[in-house]
Amino acid sequence: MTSGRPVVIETRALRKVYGIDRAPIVALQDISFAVEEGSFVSLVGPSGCGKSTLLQIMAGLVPSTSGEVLVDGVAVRQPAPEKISLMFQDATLLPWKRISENIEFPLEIRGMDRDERRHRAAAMLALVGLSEFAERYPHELSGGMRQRVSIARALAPDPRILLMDEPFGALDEQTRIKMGYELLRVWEKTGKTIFFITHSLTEALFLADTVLVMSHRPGRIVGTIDAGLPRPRTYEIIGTPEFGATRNRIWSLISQDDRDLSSEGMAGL
Amino acid sequence: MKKSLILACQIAFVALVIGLWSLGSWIGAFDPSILPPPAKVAMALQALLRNSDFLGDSLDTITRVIVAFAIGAPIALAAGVVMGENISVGRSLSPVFNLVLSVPQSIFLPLFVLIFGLGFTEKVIFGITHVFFVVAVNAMAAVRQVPHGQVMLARSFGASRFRIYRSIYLPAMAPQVVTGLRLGIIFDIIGILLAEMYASRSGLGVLLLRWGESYAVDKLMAATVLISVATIVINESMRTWEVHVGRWREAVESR
Amino acid sequence: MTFRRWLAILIVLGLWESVRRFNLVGPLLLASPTEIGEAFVKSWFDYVVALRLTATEIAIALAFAWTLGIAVGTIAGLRPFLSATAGPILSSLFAVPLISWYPLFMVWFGIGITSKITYAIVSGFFPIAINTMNGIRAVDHQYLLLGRAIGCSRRQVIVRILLPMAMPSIVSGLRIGTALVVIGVIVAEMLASLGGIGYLISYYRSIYATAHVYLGILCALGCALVVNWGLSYVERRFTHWRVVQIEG
Repeated sequence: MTSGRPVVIETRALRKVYGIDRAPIVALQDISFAVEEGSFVSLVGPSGCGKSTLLQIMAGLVPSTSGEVLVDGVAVRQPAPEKISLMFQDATLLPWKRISENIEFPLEIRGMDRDERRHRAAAMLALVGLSEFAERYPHELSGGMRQRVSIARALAPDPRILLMDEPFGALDEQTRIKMGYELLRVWEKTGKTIFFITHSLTEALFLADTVLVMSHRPGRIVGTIDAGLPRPRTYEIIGTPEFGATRNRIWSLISQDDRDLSSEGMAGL
Repeated sequence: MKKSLILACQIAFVALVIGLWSLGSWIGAFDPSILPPPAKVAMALQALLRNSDFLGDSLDTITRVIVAFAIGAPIALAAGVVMGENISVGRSLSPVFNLVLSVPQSIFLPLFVLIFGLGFTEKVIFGITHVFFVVAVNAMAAVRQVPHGQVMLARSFGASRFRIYRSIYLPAMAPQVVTGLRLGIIFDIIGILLAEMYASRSGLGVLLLRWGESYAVDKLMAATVLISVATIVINESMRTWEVHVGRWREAVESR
Repeated sequence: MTFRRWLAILIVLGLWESVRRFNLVGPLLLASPTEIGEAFVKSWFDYVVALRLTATEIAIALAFAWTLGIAVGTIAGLRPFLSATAGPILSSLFAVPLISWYPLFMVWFGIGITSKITYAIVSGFFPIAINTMNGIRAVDHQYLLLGRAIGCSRRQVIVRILLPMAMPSIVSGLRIGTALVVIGVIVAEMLASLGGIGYLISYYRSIYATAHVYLGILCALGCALVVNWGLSYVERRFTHWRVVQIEG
């Protein structure tokens, strides 16, 4: 984990509690980790463990109950669009805008002038290989293509870090694999820092340098696993024993956490 | 959000309106011959409810509404179901129905009166036209909502036609049908009142218009508020029924 | 295709004309196209004056109903508490037969242009407000998150994301509301008025001038049609993406 590169985003003892007065629900507990510049970190955990909440806190959309998030050493309590870009499971493209206009939208909000916007959007679109679709509308594109546009939109403001919340969750398996490749390609080309949330162990390990393992609610980091796999990653790597062993380690961390649970209904994961 | 809090706020809102009204009347902000204070309206309402003429006219109106509904709704339901089941019939007739619904029927009232006059029967027919189209269109939509996969499954189990209608069609169709009925009765009331106002010798519509022209504001307000409250009660009851038969649906909106 | 449609129209007109020519239906009940044409030639000026009045009333009422409806609907839609409280009230009030309030409106506003416009505004207000409110509430929460994440101010989120997203719902509310405004104006004119198309229709009915009644109704339908065209333009302009989405 430590390689001397500057830390882009860091969480310190993050805690999020809902419903303070009545029956308090601890969504996140003592979350601390650091993400270095240019690295690809994934976070894996069961459904409902608070992954999305964590992402929203990191993005400054939701306040934490205690603890803090630091981006480039500065505490984040409000959305910081110049530093952080977000991507969701749904591409959330504005359906009445053309693809190019969608990519320009965040730049427009930030006040970039028109020519520069157009230029930047075109560049991003070329990066994800969808230049011919600039004048189309979102509904004309497939799910995978829409997510690629979403990536282009997220990269357009040249953020310090890209936070992604299960972006490929709604796609079928083959598209998902292709999108994974695509994302890695873009990552290698741009050198961006990426924080990727998923509930697929395979995907988390395949894509990342480091895998953070999160427990069920209250969400805690129960392990930090170094992927230790060579790049560039190919699909065949998934079948290798090294991959399997590492994935098993992740799995055992999650299921150990399961066994610690005494309540019913959480078994069978 | 607590339901009780919401209800309290709604009641508070109504109370506020009445309160402001009373206050305004009390400080003389309103001309009492145009907007009488709530107390006077309440008294007028009491008097009306004891007045046999008023009750007689109310009964006339209610009768017309009910007769129009009793005739129009079943025919409309049948027509709607036929149009929904039979794709070719549906496809040819439904644009006609939609066209009629989009054309304001009330505009044809003078023509209607010119051609048919406006006795009891004619008023009822006018009411039926208001009920018919909206109930039929909703019934047709309701049939389209029936999950055909379930029907095929039931048939493969050898379920009788009757069983299928009762266990699958009915629950699936019920909410939409009730919506149609609710709209039907509302349109019915509007149609009958309009017809009465336009050319009639009896009924609530006539009373309202007459009182309006003679500036009998107390009675006018009392009757208007009474009709409004009655319609709201009917609407909300039917909506409750709608929610009740739609229990099986995932609640998107409960209103 | 259009040739066939014209042919069909001609045939209908021909049948319509001949039904009267051969006196299959009496002159009281039905007016043939030529009779309507004669009525037009005789009294076109009255109709033009009336149409102008009606059109003015409709235009003013529409302007108010649209703005008030969308404004109230937006405000209610933005705050969940408001929509939970105001929503049912709006829906209940929508069920009230507004025609029963017209005599009161007459007392309050006279039988001139004000009472008609007010009546029409109230008629159109409710569906617009209700649909706007529901449309805004239905917008996926993620779009709001996205807006905030890219640095939109609250006003920008509302104007640039929420309202456009809610447009299909708003437009369907506008459709219903607009229809109710047009009907409201014309019906109010029929009941008690000094002018306007509704008044003309009613007047001619009272003197059994059938052809004039038909002509009047055609004018009224014409008003409704013109307004509808305008609305279709708005619909296409603001919801073209939705229209295609349904097919795709």
